[in-house]
Amino acid sequence: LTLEIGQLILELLQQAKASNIKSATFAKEIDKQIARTVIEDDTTLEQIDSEIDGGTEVVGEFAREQINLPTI
Amino acid sequence: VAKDLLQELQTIRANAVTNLEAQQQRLLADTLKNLEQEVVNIVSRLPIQDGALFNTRLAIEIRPQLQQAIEELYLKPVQTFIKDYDKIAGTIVATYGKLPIPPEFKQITEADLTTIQQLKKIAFSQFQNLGNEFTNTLAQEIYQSTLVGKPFGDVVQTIRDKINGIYQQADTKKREELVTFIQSQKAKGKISSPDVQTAIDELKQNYGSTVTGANLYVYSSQIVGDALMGFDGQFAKFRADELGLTSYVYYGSIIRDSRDFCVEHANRVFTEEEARALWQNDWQGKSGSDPFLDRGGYNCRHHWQPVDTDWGTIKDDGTFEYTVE
Repeated sequence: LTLEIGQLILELLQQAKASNIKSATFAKEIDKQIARTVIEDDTTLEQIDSEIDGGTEVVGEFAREQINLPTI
Repeated sequence: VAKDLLQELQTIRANAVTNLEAQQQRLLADTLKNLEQEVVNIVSRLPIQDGALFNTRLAIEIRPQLQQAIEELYLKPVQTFIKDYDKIAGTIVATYGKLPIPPEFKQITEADLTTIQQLKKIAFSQFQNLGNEFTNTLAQEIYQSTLVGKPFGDVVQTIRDKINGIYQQADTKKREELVTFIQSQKAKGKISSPDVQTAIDELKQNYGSTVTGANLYVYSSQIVGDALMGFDGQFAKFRADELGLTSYVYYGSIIRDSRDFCVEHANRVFTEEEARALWQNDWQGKSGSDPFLDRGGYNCRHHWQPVDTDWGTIKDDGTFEYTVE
């Protein structure tokens, strides 16, 4: 990639990330693409992918989790 | 049901909310300090010519970075605040568990979990809307400043003003001390004490000349309190409806700046109908007409405590006294 094309792709990906699409899969995929635009080392990218996949939280989404009651 | 136990349960619930709010107010102050610095860092990466921003294309393109900063450094921390509402829900259910209610309601039910999830989303949306609004505000400020060649130092100052107002990161030790003092007292719920008011006046008088209008900190701080109180009130009401409890004590401490309305009605018992009729009236500081959503108004510290009138007696002045032993 030339530097200019790389910058254009990065801008496009940042705009996609800012589009606030409520999808964990979409958000993770964009994050991975952004990482690929600026990082070349395969080992580092593998670790980044693994970290991105490990984080399941989407902003504004709340899991329906069991709640422990305090002792009163 | 012992009289003392019921009063204690009310206090436990109120304290749980007060303590969590104090913790969240402290975290909010730290969160917005980080955000302020990050936004200044982002703007500082733009090119400067003759002491001012000049590239309008880059000023427009900075928006996604601002949005990402708001999401990472504001909304994600706020999300953890809201996850902690589980502590309030747990406390409410645990206190109900001490009352003479059917055993199935002494634990969290499936319906409870669904309601809690929905109430969290509603609470979060208030912060999300504010975050979006301030992303626009900051983006516009940067673009317009670039267009008219506003000095860069003034742009940074305006950004700090818009995020933290008078509580922005300090460039002098004295100012830092005042900010730290005010925020620590605020976290303890002592914002109206004379010492704090003096400190706020000093801060405004000596350092607040550039600060106009509200800022992200002021709005967020109010939402931290009101969203938490709203969650507490709505979930307690939901549980009361599930249990068939139809009366409520307007419960909470009276402080120096309590509204006259709250002072007049504190500890009184109402049916839902009575409360809804009363809340159609006007009073100073009223924020809405739903007693369970709005209570006395912004920053109101009163709770609705569901009761069965068989647990006590309603006195001549309308207050409720627990008498069941």
